[in-house]
Amino acid sequence: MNDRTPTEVLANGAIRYGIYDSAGVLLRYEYIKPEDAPTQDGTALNKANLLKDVTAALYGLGTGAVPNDVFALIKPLLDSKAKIATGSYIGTGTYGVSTPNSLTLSFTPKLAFVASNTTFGIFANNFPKALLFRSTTTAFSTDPVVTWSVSSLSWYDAGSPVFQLSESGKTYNYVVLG
Amino acid sequence: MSVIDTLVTDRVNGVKYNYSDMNRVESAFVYLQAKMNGEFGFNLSLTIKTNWVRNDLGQVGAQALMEQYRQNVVAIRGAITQMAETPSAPASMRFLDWAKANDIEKILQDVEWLLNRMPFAFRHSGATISGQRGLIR
Repeated sequence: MNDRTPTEVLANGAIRYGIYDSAGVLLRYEYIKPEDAPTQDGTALNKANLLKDVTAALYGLGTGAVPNDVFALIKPLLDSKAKIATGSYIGTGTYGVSTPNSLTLSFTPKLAFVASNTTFGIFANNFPKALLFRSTTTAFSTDPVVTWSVSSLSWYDAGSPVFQLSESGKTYNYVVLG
Repeated sequence: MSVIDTLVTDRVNGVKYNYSDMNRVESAFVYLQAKMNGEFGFNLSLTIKTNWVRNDLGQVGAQALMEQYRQNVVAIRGAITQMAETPSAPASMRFLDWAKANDIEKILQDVEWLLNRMPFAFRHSGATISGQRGLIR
């Protein structure tokens, strides 16, 4: 971006303006500057504060770039970055196809981990089953049925709230990557 | 007073251009680059040599160093739209005459002259509305 580069400035900083009549005829010049005795000038809206050349260069932009050019480049970069959601829920004791567990997300899930202090489940991108481990046994389960969507992940187990990760009153923490 | 105040623009025919002139101009490069990058958001990356000595100009590689010197003038001049009366940068350092030597230092003076006036045109946060022209809110 380019700062305005005046040439008609007085030594006291007053800058030249033209006074015109309604016909567009220049009547005279006046030199003015703020005299409002501010306690602070405020941040200058200029190249040094809005978009330095060195910053523009970080995005492959030239010295004529404006902040909007950078914003336009940032959006696809943000969209392409990995996303993560974390949280927890309390199990309700329900299970089965009619009462699945569900996580609603602001992105498309690709990988999820859900764990209580006794059960740990892994959900992998578009795989229709979850892999569950229990701390009380070396056995594992692949019974839970998983449904993936653009902005959610849901699953159920037909036989037990334990394998649906929904034991009543138990806290489950999750991490979802997208 | 800065190095800009020491620049020479009033040479007359017959005045020699020597290493001390180049060191003065190179010091002005240092000063302007720091000012432009630090205060005004430019991204100049000049190759600057401030230690010219008498015999440098006769050494192998001097021509490349002189061209770098000229390119610095071109870069500084080109960073801001100049006034109509600001001289052009020399097209070459070969056969540099007194007038072109004056031009180099006048360019640097003019750049600083403009830089010193630019802040008076800056609007400040809280005093400006998007899309506004004119001066009074």
